[in-house]
Amino acid sequence: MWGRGSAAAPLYCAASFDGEECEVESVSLLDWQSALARIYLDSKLRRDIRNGDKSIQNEFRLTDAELDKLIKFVTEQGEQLESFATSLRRKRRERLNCYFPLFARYVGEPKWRVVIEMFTEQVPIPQSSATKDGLAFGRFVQGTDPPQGLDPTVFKDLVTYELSKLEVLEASPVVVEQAENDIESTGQIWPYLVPPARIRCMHQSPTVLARLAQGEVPTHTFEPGRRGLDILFFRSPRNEVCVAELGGYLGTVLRYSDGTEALDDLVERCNVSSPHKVSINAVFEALRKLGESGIVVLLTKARR
Amino acid sequence: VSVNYLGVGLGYRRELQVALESHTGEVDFLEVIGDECFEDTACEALDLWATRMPIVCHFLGLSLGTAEAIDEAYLTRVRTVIARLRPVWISDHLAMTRVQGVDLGHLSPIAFSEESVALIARKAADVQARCGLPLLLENISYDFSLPGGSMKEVEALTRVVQASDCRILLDLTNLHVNSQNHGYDPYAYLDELPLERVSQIHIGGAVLRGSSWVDSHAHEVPMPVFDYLDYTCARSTVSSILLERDRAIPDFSELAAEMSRARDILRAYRNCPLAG
Repeated sequence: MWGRGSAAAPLYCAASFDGEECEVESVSLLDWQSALARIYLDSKLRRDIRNGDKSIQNEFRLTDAELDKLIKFVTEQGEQLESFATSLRRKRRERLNCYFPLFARYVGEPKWRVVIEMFTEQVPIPQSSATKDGLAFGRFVQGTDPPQGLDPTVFKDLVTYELSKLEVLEASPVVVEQAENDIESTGQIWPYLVPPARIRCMHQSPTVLARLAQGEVPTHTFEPGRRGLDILFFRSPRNEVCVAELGGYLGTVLRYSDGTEALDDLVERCNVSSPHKVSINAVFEALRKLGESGIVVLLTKARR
Repeated sequence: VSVNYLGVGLGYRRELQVALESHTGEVDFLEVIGDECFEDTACEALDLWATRMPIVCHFLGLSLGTAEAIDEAYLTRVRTVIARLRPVWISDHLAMTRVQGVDLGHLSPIAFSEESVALIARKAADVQARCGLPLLLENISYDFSLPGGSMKEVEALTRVVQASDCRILLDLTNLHVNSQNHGYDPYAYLDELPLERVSQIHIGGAVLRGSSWVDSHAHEVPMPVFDYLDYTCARSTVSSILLERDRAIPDFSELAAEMSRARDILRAYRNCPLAG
């Protein structure tokens, strides 16, 4: 990904930063930008350059003059560079925070920062997309011991849970084993939504969740037809990542890895009765609230 | 809607949705972050706003300063947003956000060099032609000057917009931050800029951290920014001013007060219908 390439790129004249004439042979603008980006992102590289390390010269095939300019840049604008690098790390942390809300909350702000710092030290270059970067982070954390004071099981379990949501987002929706059977017992769906371990983490008792699911929210607040198709992700009793689809007037769980099963077909086949609809409406509201807590992810009109 | 005549607007943020409903009459136009509209769901909330008032789309990821071709997938998404929200114009930055597949996630400065100017002008003209809308280029705040520069920022911006026939989104807060941090005269900058090419102005929050100013978008607009606004309005025809607030969003009344101040300045120089 990094390094000198692109022979077609125009030549770059690194002159005039300090008023000197440029060398005859100079690196392309793209290579120069790549070297700069690497410096922005890699704190170790910045330290190494300040300590006299010249390995970046070979990596980007810089001329001696270009290397000198780069060293001068890193050394003389050190404070500003560090400030900029901090901004980059903050942006990256914010993006990761969006993907790991429950995990971040469990870990707590100071330790969350430590975990992120460990990650950015070891993986300084972000992946090509925010989602991919999130996946890389999750996998990194899976192989990391938790900071002191955190339960290793919950730590790993939570990051796996968050990671699995990202994997689902990154890939096409995956097969969910449970389907029609759950429709027959919609009143029992709610305990499956969040495994007890997560409920404890959220300091929510099953009773509270049950009250949420069983009608404290007036069902008339649900507007049939307004929501269209909504997708949610949750854990099954067997700890699988599930994808569920909620229709405008009915929630159900679909298998759609083959993309052939339509919601209406399932409705007709399962002959869902009116009480079930009411129950699903309440469940939907409960899910929405859980979604706000980061326990489940609700995506309206997710792409199929 | 005239290209230069939108009034005083506000940067749309989800957190402002409810307040905007109650204060629609106090906002002339909205600027939405185009990148946040790439997801269908995020765009839904804006569909209605697009029918209520003019919208402009501000993008973050064209990365015009990178010495690579425009990311076609990104441009396709930009065009999809344009088709959906029908903005008056679009804008992005005189910056680099992506290099060789790596997303920096932040606006990075460019070297103010002949080569950069030619590169950005070429790419900007291409984007403008393919999007079928005016493309405005914004001056960013930058912590450091890159090696390889051979001209001042204002000259680079001027030459880019002239060569590409694009327009300028003049961020007066960034001007304030840069002029303070890099020690130059902001009024000289404005004097050198082709103000007739300025279609929109950004004003936003900034804060002094240590010895450096930072465009935080989380604080009130610094007083000198309103002075620059007055100076610019007196010397140009620009009539589209936008208040940006991304974080620590206060009560709407505080935002309204800042918009009102900008509106008063605009009214002093323009005879145009304005909200509020």
